[in-house]
Amino acid sequence: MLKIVDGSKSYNHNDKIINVLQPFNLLIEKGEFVAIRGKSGSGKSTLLHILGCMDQLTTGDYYFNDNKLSTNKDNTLAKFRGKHFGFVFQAYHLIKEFTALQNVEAPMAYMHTPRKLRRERALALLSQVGLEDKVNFYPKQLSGGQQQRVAIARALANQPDVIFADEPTGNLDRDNGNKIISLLCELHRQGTTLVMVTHDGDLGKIADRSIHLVDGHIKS
Amino acid sequence: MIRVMNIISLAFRMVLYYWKSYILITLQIAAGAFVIYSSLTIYYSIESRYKEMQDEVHALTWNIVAQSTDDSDSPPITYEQLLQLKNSYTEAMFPLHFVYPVHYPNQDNELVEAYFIYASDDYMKLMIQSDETFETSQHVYMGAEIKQFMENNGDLLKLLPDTPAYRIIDESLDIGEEAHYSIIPITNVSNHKSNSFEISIHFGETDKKALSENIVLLPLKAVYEHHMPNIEMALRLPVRVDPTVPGEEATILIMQVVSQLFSWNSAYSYNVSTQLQQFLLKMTGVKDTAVIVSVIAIVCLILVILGLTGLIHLLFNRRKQGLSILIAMGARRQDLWVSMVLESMYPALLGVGIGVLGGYYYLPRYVQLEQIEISPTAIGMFFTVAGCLLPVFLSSSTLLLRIYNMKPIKILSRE
Ligand SMILES: Nc1ncnc2c1ncn2[C@@H]1O[C@H](COP(=O)(O)OP(=O)(O)OP(=O)(O)O)[C@@H](O)[C@H]1O
Ligand SMILES: [Mg+2]
Repeated sequence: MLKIVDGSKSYNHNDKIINVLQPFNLLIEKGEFVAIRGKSGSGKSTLLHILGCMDQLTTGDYYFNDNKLSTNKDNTLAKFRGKHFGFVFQAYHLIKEFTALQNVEAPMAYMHTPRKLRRERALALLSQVGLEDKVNFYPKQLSGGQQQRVAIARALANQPDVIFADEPTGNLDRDNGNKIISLLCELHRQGTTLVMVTHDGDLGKIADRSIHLVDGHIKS
Repeated sequence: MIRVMNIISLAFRMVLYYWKSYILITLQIAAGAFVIYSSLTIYYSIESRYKEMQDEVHALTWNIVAQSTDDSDSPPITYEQLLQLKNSYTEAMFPLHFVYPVHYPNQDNELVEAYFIYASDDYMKLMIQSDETFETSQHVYMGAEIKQFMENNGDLLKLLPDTPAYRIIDESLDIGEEAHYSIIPITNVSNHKSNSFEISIHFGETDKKALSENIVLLPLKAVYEHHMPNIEMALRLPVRVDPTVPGEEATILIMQVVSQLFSWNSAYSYNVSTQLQQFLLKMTGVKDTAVIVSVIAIVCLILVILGLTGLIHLLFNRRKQGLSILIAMGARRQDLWVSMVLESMYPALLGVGIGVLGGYYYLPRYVQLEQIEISPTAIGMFFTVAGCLLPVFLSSSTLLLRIYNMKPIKILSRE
């Protein structure tokens, strides 16, 4: 489903080239649960952003369902992300000016979902993550765990093919973290492809497959 | 359609969320718009009335009225000062003249009113289109009726100094309480006056028609040489400005003449006589005030707009994270930009609306200017709205670059 051929990523930092991701090939199948693991600074987030089309490869090609993606058009990429991907971040990244409901509705607005349908779907998703009584709360009125659950509901809004999660439990205590993980596992069981960056070794075991990053080298 | 709705509703939601930040700016813009609209309206109202009257300026003879403020021996304007004015202001005419109403009995012994007018060259030019030098001459022009009276009564060659014509009282005539003055044949009294003077009298030799039957025109100089212009009564100095001089300059010229006269003779107060003329002079000042008010308003507005621009950029910094998320979720950057611009336009629009409507409502009710109708002007509204919204639009437009240069992953990776 997601395929990178001869990919690499480097940054030009003060005229010095930093190779963050050494040349690699990667294939993620539909319905897989892939964990990306590695030490801090090993390039996990960078890889996730590239897979999620938030960042671009320095070299190599990106295929989605065997279609090569031209990654240079900002608007095309944005639309592509909105349609196929959902993101969950370690820092939740809810829009603070929006209520929980509005946060979940927002991605659908950009996919031009009619208003009524948006509202219904957002309410359904919020009750799916157990927040039906918090729909009109602003992010600052919610706990970290609740915020992350809103973030997951939001990631699901456009019924994405892949969900990318960057250390979704990193800011949460074990209890709340487990809730989030079981939510994600549930989604995976329902057939959503899941790519998750994690430090936690235990979480790595739940996944179908782990990708280890060591100094930018990818070891599946 | 949904796309447009998204843009609008995002902007609207943001304004509502940040209303505390925006309310002050809205009020500031409202105040600025109110002042600008008001001053523009006043300015245009004055301007249009002023233009109307500028055209009337040339048809007018301005009258500067001198009034004595204390006892002074000097006249409000001396003959030399008149000459000086004529030299300094060549584009103006000064048809100075002194009028002495007199009464005399006719054949039927009825009391007839006549006028002795000591006239300047400019007066002659204006009244009877005569280009000759008159004011320093020895000529006297007489109307037919009064000439008849004089001829019937003897020597016409002498006029009496120290005895203004109206003082020559016919004792035989009962004039009553009002004490009009009469003339009698000069021969009857002239012998008692050592300093009487002789002038040649033209008996209607002129074909100029402006003289009425009962007017005597005498040279202006005589009034100064033989008897001072009466200072008890108000003196009028007429001024007529050449029609080729623009109305505004003409008005200024009049003001200069007035202040020149005052600097010469501070014992008098000088005023232009008619309401219209006083108004014109006053309006020149009011117009200047309107301009000054406009300038102040514009400075205020610039400050407000700078403030708003600063606020928008400040809010943008707080907003980066939210915008990055929206981009990650599929929003186009240009849509976000449009919604940021809209977001700054809402409070500006509201402010301008309040300001202009406030001006529209209150101005005609609370500002009343003599002879001017303060009416709402479309052009004033247009300039106010454009003047307030355009800079806001331009300043918020500068966000385009910042939105395009924004790197969502960098912002979202920061924890
Ligand atoms: N814009 C950039 N310019 C230069 N170097 C960068 C840039 N972005 C990331 N890097 C470098 O790339 C490397 C990988 O960063 P990345 O964020 O992917 O690490 P990570 O594995 O997610 O670490 P963590 O577990 O702490 O989140 C780091 O060494 C970082 O310094
Ligand atoms: Mg990371």
